[in-house]
Amino acid sequence: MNEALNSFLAKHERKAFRMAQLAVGNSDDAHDIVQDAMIKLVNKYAKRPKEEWPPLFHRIMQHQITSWYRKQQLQQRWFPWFSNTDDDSKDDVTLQHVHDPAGRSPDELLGNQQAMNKLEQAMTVLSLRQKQAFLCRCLQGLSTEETAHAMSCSTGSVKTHYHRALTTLREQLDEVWP
Amino acid sequence: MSNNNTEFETQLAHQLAESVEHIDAANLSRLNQARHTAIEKTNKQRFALPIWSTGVAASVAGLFMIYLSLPIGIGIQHTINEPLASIALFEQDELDLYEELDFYEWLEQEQQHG
Repeated sequence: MNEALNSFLAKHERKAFRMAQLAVGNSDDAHDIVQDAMIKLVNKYAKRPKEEWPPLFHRIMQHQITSWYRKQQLQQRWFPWFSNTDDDSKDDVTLQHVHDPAGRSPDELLGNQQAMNKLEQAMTVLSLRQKQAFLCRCLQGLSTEETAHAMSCSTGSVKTHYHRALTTLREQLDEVWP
Repeated sequence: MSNNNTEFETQLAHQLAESVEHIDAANLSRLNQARHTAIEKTNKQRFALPIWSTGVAASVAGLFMIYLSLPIGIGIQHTINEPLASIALFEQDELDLYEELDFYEWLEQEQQHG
């Protein structure tokens, strides 16, 4: 059981972390979200069939991200002096390709990094639901139905959020990917 | 994803996949640690008794103490006194036996004289 869970989490943790990082905009909170999601999956659903783990994990992740947003909104409303800036966490994302194990040239790395930075910047304009729909579809590779299950909403809502997200990103990233 | 992906979507998906592939070592290490923490917590929980079991054990102990302190305990004394009662009964039987013996002795004497 433990080995199966371990390999499942090992397979999904990278995408889950990246999704949380892009959704909340900082690495520390993204790590907390992923760890909490892992613990919840292991505690509550470890005995479920393995085939059910991926949709459950995606759903827990989306729930964790939504909870994080709500907490942030509450904190900003009632305790604005406690709100943290994301500048430090942005740095570790932008400096991650100093040494590239794939052996790409510095120009390629720089171009790739710049494109990623622009994408991240463009994503800040999106609403939470648009970000979630976009990341589930484009990063996790989920279908509309799977995304709807993960986000606990209808497929129609997913299509709307995803379409709006793509339209906004297209406008923002017209120079990078014409 | 569906087959009618636009080129733009494909580019975005590719870009995101690239960023997943190149997560730095520090973050990968933290992810690894988080995974092990999650698995360890399950192992600990598996061998730990649920919270309600403590309450059940305390309730059972409390009820037993109440049972011992109440007059219901007399029931136990009954069982202790039972041997004495049986001895008394036995003694009563013996008396009857003696009386019967006296009767048989008198009957024998009467038969001899008769």
